Amino acid sequence: MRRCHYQQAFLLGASYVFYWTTSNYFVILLLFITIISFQAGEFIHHTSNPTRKKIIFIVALISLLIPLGIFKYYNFGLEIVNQIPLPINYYLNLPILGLILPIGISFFTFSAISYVVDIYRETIPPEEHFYRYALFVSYFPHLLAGPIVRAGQFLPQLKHSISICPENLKAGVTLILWGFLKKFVIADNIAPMVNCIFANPTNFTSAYIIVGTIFFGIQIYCDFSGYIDIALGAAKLIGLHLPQNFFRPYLSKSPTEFWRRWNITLSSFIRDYIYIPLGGNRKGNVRTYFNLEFSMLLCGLWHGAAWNFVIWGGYHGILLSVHKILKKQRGSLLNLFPTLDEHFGLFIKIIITQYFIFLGWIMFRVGNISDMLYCMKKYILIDFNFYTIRTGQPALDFLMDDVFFTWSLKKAIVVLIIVIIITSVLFIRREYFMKKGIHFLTNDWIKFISLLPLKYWLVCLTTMIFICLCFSASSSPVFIYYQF
Amino acid sequence: MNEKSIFPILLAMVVSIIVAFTSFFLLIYFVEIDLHTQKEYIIFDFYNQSHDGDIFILGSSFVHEGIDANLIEASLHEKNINRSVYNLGVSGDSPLERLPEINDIIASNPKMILIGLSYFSISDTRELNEDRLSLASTRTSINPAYATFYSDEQFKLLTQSSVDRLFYERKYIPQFLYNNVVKSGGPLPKNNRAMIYKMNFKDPWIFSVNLSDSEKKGLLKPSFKYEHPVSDTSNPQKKALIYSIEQFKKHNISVILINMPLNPVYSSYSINETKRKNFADFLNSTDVLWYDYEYMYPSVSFIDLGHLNAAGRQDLSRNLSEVLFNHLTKVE
Repeated sequence: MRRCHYQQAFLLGASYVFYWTTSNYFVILLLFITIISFQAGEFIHHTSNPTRKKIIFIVALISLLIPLGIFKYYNFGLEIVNQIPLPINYYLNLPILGLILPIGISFFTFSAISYVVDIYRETIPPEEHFYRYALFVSYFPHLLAGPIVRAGQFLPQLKHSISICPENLKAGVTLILWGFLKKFVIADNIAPMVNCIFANPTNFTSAYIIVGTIFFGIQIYCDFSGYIDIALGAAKLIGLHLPQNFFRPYLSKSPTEFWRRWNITLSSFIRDYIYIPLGGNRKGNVRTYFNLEFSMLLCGLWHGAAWNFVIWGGYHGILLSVHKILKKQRGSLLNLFPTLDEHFGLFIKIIITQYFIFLGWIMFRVGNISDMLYCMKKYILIDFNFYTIRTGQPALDFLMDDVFFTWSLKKAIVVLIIVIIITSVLFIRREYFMKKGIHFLTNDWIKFISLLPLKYWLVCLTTMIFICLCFSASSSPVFIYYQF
Repeated sequence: MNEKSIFPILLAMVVSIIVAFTSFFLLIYFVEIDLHTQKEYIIFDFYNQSHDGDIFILGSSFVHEGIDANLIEASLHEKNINRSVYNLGVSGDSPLERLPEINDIIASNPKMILIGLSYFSISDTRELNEDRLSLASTRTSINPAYATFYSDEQFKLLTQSSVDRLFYERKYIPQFLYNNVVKSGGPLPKNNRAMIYKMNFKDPWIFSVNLSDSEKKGLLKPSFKYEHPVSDTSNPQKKALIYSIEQFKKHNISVILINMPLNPVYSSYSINETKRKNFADFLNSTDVLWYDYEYMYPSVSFIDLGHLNAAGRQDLSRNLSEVLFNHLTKVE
């Protein structure tokens, strides 16, 4: 048991040093959030009076949200207040603070809030040891960009001492390298092309805007899920399990399913701590749609204090509401389109869903509202202008000119459609193929690689490192979700 | 901790790291061969030789394709001026990309330098070729004062260590694989394949094919109208050119600027009065003699929108030999 304490104290120290190196004095903020939430948990648990319990709970929530509000939303809110008298040609000019957003503040604040709420709801008991709780909040793999870990998932794992076993070591290393591949090879190589298009989107035709949008969808997925894989892998090395945050989101066949597969820990946090307490779908249709919209607006705002995130959140609220309405009309829709439930219907559902999800990525990526509207127009109303625009970005020029336009757009589209069809068929019929012995279609192929005999695992590992070395981008921007 | 059973895994990890890194360095070494044949790389070997009293012509592919150094040299020789003339044009060249070579140029001691310029050379939105900056880092020592001309990222490339450079070179791997595996086009990258035809720094590039007038017009794109803006304010390219001229003058090297010919099909479409005025004003501000050939040649003298063909090259080279003769007789 003593060994367990030492291990955890070491991990705690390492996590704080890690945060210090990335965020300097903001480590005090991390400590503040930890102390407040830990003490609130204690008080709430030991208070039998429900009113007092509620007051402590509300005070704790406000105390935890104040730093987040100040650092993340103060300037945004002030800018809105400043603009209120604009119709009478007056600008309030209240001073904007030059605040730097502490890295990971949204993630560790939400972890702390989940702990307080869960104790208030009596779904978990408070943690006895402060250092153990502090380790839960500050554990370095999830500290900077998630996943949002809940106390009930993490704290019970700290009851046992850490041990490195061969299975976890193999799985952890594989996961970390897979994360590196996603981040450094895919996301970072795509980033310059996306930046080039969206820096001045009004210079570009529909073909470029669509390619930029698709690339941004791939970039943000590989960037964020790459970080999560690295975090999960680093935790797994020492036998700790963090919750999964992604599960093939671009194969979702509805917006609801998308949010069960994308940023799972955030969407489940919003579901459990905002949507359901608001009444969920238990208070009639109108209230359900309002709850969805409100929850998604907050989800958008969580991503950043900017209007484009609010619009993005609101848009997803509408998508979820429309999906709910369509779901209720399922019978009549099936009469109209009988193939809807068959494999082809599934394929069509995936395509339609992803069309709207990717339209949402334009709102997420393009901060300037008029640029955003231009991009959306070009994405929806295709202009059919297929000429090369010299961008000065060699990879983008090569892709658009040599591949799409010179090589022939038709050929490129045919190949793309074939690739999409093959991928969809493999995905939809994966159980059939797996029965035939084609195991690489497994749902968890990281596990599949980890369970390979050592010599085959070594080959996989060498290949992954080699690919990382050869094809990683020359410059690596920080993880996108660091800013949230 | 189950140390015994994790040992084979740790060993496997070490082996895979060693194998992966070794394979990577072998591949890089193999790819690197291509770079050693490029003009912007071996040009430093040229500078390492003494060129007392020679004439250098600097500039982009407009210079590389549009000026015949042999012809100029022969014309001068006929007039009893025996000086070697070298065409040091490099595709996509700009004053900032040439800046790292300045000290080497001065050390080789030429008599005179002609710099062929066009709007893109000093454009406000000109982006630098990172590869060229990185290549320069392997061939010459960079003056710390140059930091003021470049962004941090660009200066980092110019001053990168050999280890950084080795990792930087991984960016050539995809193109290398594309050329060798997908296109089976031989070991050199597509755009540079013909560059090594004969690197005597005198012969012009003569591999391009003449386009018809309708084909030339077909090359015009809407975006050309807005490309290469030249404002009346300073920018790093302009500063670099002024700095280079100052350095040359300081070392008694005469400088002449040439506004390179442009195809009228292109210039009537892309160059407006303001842009032309700003460009001319800047050239005047350099306090150096400059010659304007921008509108001098008809469309038939061009291969495409900006590069001269054999006839155009001959005309321009003859004109330049006159300019050089007049200038050299005055100086001498």
